[in-house]
Amino acid sequence: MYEVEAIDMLLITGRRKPSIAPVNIEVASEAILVAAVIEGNHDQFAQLYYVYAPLVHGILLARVPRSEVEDLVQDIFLHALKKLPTLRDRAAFGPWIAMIARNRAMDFYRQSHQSVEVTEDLRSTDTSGSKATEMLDVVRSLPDAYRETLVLRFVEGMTGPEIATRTGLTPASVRVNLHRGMKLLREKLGFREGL
Amino acid sequence: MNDDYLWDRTGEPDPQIQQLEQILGTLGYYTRPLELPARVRIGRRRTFFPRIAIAAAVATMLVGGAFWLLLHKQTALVGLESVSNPQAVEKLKTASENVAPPAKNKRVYESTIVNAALENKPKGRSVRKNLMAGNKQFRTLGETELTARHRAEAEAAKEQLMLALRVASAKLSLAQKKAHGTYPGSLIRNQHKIG
Repeated sequence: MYEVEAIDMLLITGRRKPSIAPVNIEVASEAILVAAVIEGNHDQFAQLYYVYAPLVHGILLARVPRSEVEDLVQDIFLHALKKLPTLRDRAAFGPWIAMIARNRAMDFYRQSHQSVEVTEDLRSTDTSGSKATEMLDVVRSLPDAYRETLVLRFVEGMTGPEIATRTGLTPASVRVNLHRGMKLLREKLGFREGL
Repeated sequence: MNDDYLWDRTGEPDPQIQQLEQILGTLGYYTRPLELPARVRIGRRRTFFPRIAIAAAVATMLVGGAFWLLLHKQTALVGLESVSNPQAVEKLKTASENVAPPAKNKRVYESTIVNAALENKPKGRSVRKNLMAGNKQFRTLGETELTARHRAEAEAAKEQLMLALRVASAKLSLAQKKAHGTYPGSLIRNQHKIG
């Protein structure tokens, strides 16, 4: 169905630290970008990648070990490029790729046949021991909906409205997730000294 | 806890949230060039369903049309063959005499003719071709015969109606004469009184 011929590699580069693009412009141009990519203009896909890479990164970071996240982000975008014509609502690229990322994170554990609890597994693989990693472990120990929202908020630097727009969740849901997740995080961090 | 700052970084900053942003922000996504194969064919999913559906519909229509034509032609040929066959004609005559040809039972009458023809159906394609003209004769003959019978009945009915009209007319004239006093009996009575 899909044929990929890897003759030589095309590098689509972005900025060092992507700043979050304005939400309105992003949504308006999203459908145009998707249409352009489907028509064959692959350079436009770089813009989609630039805008949505932090989202995919955050979703993966909340679920899989950090060492696997970078490669998975690349795989997900390549997969999304190939599957782009199957996207019915071209303005819903964000929710679509977010769902791909969540599914890919689940597939990661299915393929590796790990039956250990996710949080324990993540703690064992991230052995950097830095303060940030320890904090991330605490966030990952939260329920799924809370940890994804909190990672996108604190790690990727998105605001609540941006998270809602890009993931396709309602602003109310995101707000509730942030509020309750932050409450749980405070409780957990309160038991830790020096944080 | 300042919800507004957590939501969209407005309002009074929460020191704890700021600390989380500062620490966890170091784990954020730093754009890595997207490595795409130079020739990526974004293939559209080939859906053969519409083509198959159209082909199936056309095939069904063709088969249905052919079946209908075959059935129609067969019924017509049965009628034609019966005319050329003397035995069938004899049976037809008998049937036409026995079966009343009223308009109400026309279908029954026709089915009787067809059944009589079926019993004496000759085999062979050349015979069928020669019988094409005979069908018209048969139909004309049947129609004229029916018309004559109808005409005779109509004549009889007309006679009866005329007789009834004559009787009614005589009675009416008698009543008129009685009413006007021109009845011969009354005249005699008057004459007797006068006389």
